[in-house]
Amino acid sequence: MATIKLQGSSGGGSVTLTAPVTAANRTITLPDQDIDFGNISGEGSVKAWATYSMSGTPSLTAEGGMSSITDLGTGTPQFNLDIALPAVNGSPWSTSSVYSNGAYYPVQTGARVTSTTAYQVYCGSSATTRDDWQIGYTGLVR
Amino acid sequence: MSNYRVIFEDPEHPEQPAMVLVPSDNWLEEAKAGLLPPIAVYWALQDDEQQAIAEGRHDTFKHDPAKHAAQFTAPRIGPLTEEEAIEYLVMKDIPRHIWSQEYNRPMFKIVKTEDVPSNRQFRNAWRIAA
Repeated sequence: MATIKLQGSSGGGSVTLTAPVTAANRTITLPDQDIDFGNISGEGSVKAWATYSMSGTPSLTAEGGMSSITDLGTGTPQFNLDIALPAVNGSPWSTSSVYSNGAYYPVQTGARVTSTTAYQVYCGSSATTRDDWQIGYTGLVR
Repeated sequence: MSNYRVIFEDPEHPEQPAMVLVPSDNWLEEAKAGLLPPIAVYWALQDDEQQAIAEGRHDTFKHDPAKHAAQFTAPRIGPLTEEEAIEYLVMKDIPRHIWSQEYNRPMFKIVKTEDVPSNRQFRNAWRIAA
């Protein structure tokens, strides 16, 4: 027989489970691993994502899991995470949507996790040059 | 969209152009709703990571699980104004040596969004004036 353990939080708030609006019975099946819903989900999930622009002044058009974007220089945005990662690793990705001249090019790009609280993206125009994309997509899976 | 941006320079890298920090609208809403933990929660994590960097073990560094969990479990600090939230963000997302030490000229400034030049060539030549 399994048991359910409820652990109080320091804030004193309550937890509410709401039944479905239909007559159907629903089941929540948990995997055999720890899950932190406050951190989106367990390992192997998207921790942050963004649609952004580096053209003119930098901006986040839409995002999740970020607290800010820092313009470090031409074609070099840094994405600061709302919630710190548990370790200094993960799989950031980056792709260009609209290049700096308004066209759609398959340009080169790179990204790396620099700390548990941020990762950097390199918006390319060639192998050695960075450029300010008009629209870029990025995210971090861990 | 936030009315503010933060311009800052890194005195450890004087050759770099002035940098611009732009807050996330979602994060700002969280701050105004009072959903943020005390800033000390982030500082504790940053301190441990900085120590790992100083000791040359950053690549294998992992946060203490209890300190990491405090991001979710620590009592919330309550609603902030936009100005207070930006100050909080400076202390969270800008390296501490930039804002916690006194230099012979300012290393960061909170400015109105419209005051940030959109021309990067001009912005790259910026130095923050007193």
